[in-house]
Amino acid sequence: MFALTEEQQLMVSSAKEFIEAELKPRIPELEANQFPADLIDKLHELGFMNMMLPEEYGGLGERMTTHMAIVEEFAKVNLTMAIVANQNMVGELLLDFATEEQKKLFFPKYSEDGNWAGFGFTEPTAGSDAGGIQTTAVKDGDDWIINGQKTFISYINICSAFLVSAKTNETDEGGISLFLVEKDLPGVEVGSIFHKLGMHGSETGELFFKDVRVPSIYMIGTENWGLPLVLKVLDEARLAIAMCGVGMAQGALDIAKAFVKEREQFGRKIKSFQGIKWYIAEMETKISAARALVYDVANDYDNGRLITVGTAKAKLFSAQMCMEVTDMAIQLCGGYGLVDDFGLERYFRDAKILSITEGTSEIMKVLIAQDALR
Amino acid sequence: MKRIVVCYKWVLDEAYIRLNADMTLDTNQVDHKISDYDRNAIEAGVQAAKALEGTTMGLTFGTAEAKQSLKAALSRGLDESCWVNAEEASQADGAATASALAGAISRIEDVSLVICAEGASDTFARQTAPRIGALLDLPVVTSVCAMELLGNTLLATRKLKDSTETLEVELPCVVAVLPEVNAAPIPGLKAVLAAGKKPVTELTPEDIEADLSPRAKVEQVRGYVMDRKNVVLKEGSAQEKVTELLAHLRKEGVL
Repeated sequence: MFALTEEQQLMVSSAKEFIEAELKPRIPELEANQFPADLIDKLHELGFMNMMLPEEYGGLGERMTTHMAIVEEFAKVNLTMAIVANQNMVGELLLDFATEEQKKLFFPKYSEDGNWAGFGFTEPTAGSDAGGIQTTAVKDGDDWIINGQKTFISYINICSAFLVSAKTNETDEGGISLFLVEKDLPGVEVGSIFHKLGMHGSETGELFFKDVRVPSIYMIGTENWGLPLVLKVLDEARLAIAMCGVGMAQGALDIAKAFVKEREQFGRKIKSFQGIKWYIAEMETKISAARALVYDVANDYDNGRLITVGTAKAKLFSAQMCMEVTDMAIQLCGGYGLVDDFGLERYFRDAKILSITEGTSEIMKVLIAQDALR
Repeated sequence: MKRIVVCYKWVLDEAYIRLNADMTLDTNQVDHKISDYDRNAIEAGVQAAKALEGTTMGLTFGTAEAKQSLKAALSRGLDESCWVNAEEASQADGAATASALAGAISRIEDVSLVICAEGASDTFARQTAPRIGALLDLPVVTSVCAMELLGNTLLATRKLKDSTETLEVELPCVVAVLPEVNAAPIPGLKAVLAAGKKPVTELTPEDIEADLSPRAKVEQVRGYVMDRKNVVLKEGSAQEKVTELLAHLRKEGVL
């Protein structure tokens, strides 16, 4: 089993202190769809934001395993914050693929705003099929003119820019390029914000682009070859989602365990019933297995190995596991589990997104099977 | 340069202690932490060092396990750390603990202020600061809820049962602080990474003059679960039931 170093454990302890003192009291705000942006500022001050970026770009040069350990602590309490609390995946992509000139331009923005940019890939007709987009970018002198529509864009309320995929060539094999598009540019409009099952506090909705003029320096990576970059950064984002599943399942289990230890029926604590014990044993085992898988992949990442298939396995398993465990947790708590004030039903609602966001479970299976049957 | 010594204890994290069926404690897989109240003591030390333009040293008396505490303490803003490494710490009482800490403090130069928490989050015996003061022949102020340093003078406010008391004490002295003395900040990650580069001194019992033999020995530690009284108020009108409920609550000291 992967073990955290003393320094990593101390970082996790700091995260726990922050969660207890700062995050837990603000969960009602998140559930009311009000994102507590001041918490991100505080996390930035404490050094959590973009901790994997090198020090020269405002990070700490930390490892994926540290990132995962901190994600788990946040996810035990709240999914919406867990996803944005300490690493921005667009920043990771810039680190790998931006030119030095672009890094000098964009990383100072991250120094001011830890979640400066979010993903802007999905379209009404292009979800899992990331290459099937309709948004276009046409060269005009030194600029690009972007037209099109994106949907299911997360964290519209807290991101100042989005990494947008757009068709730049209809005929080439690649044909898709990536652009950083700032939200306040002329022609960018925020459309509908969706009411959704879970992940409250993150505004998810539509972005429209009408003749949006973007300078060439805002194109990231090689023209027409943006799609492989998207897939690469999605590996890292998917691993974080897998760890969110571990954290949420653990959070739900902790609530259920506290309940069954106190709840009395038929004259005794319900934890003494064998049927209850079996639930707990199954939940504990599934969570441990998912956590071990996530750390195994994170450790591979820290050692420079490819993680595409490992991440797909971790996300597939963790998303299924989290759905099962949160379901069982509610079952153990009976009617209390359904009451929002009890604090458990939110885990069940939030769990569902894990098998959809950053690549569906079906796409994960495709990746895993492709590798297995080569 | 003036030095502020902050004494702290590396304790079991009570959140993870479980009870066995016979009510003994299961401490397997329980992590340690700096005693919650000592976080405020450390922050009081950091603030005092700013006021005195001095430096801070964390001091702990513990077994080999306490080595893990050094970086944790240093990440909270201390400049250096000192650890009295002794197996005797596992059975130490208040007298042995204070003797070890006082023995270490007497080796440290230019100590202007010794800060302890009012009590530790595991035993809350409230003995450490008074005993250190007695052993070092220094004035002691306990139950400090606010403190200010004016030159070589400490202005300390003590929280009493239903009043406060403000004292003026010349340095050097020993203070025991309450959690309300400050809001202990969350350590930033840069401070965590920097902690490993700060100086650490390890002492053994042979390095200090101290009597580490406990006079009070812990025979057993057992969990305590309060049984429910299962009182059901069935008889009478709603008003009578409420009146009876209030009487019960007053009797139990809740109201």
